[in-house]
Amino acid sequence: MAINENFFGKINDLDESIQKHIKKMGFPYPLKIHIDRSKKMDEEINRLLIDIKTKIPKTFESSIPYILSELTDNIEQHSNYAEAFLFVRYDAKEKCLEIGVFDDGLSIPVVFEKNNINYSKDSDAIKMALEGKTTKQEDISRGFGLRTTRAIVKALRGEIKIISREGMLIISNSSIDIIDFKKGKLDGTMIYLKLKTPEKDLNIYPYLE
Amino acid sequence: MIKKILLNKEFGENILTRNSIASFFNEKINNLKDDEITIDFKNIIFISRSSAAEYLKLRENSNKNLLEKNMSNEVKSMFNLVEKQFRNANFTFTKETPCEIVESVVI
Repeated sequence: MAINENFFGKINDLDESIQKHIKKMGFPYPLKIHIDRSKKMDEEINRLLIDIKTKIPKTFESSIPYILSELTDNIEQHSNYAEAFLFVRYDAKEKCLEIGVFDDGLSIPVVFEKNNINYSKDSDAIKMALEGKTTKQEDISRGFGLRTTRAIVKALRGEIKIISREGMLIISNSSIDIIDFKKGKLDGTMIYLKLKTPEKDLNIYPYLE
Repeated sequence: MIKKILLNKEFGENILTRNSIASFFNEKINNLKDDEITIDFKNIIFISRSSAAEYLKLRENSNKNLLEKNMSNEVKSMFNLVEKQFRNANFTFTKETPCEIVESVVI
């Protein structure tokens, strides 16, 4: 409960409509993990993966460890966060898996600014990050995290919502909605995924090329 | 006798972040006196793309001779993917010893 209160304290200045969006995303549910600098990110995620192993259908295969590892690695590598929150929730009735990740770090637009990467609006910065724009261009192994996560989400007929500072992207199989806030900002980045349960075992590797 | 490191003891079932691999090399591998080290992937279910990339880079930069074994098909697939990506970009870590770890013996 304290974690939820802490989280909602961070979004109170935003437009009411955006607050509603965020609350709809699932963060009102009990949060699974709260990570601060005193904890090791990989140990916490490992604990979470063990916890959910028997609670989600096996057909997701390694898609969930992949997505969680890439999203949390991004936080560790770029955001300079103090706190991060994560949840994973499976709705057996809807046969949907929800993943929410929030960090109170620099946000995607600020990371781009610090690395002299030009963009017009905050929503553009998010879109560029999703397309693989990275601050570490010299390292060819970088820039895959969000791009490949998006590919897996598409394979799972899911949707992605990303809020970072004053921008928001909502991506589903058929559309992309781009929003730039008129009032307030989110100090950090929030990513929400809703994934449909695959009927057959999902091999993620063809989507990672 | 060749020094052996069981990765499951270091990371648990999943190897997830670049930082954890970096710490493993900096604090463990590179501090060992042994020149030859067996890295045992037994009971490692998953390695993330970022971790596999970091592993390959640090492996090539290390002066140790590492021999990987007991990789699951899942883990091999990820190393294959990353290695292919490096090769497509004409990226070799050193000309003399290009990355080749996915054909290690599985026992």
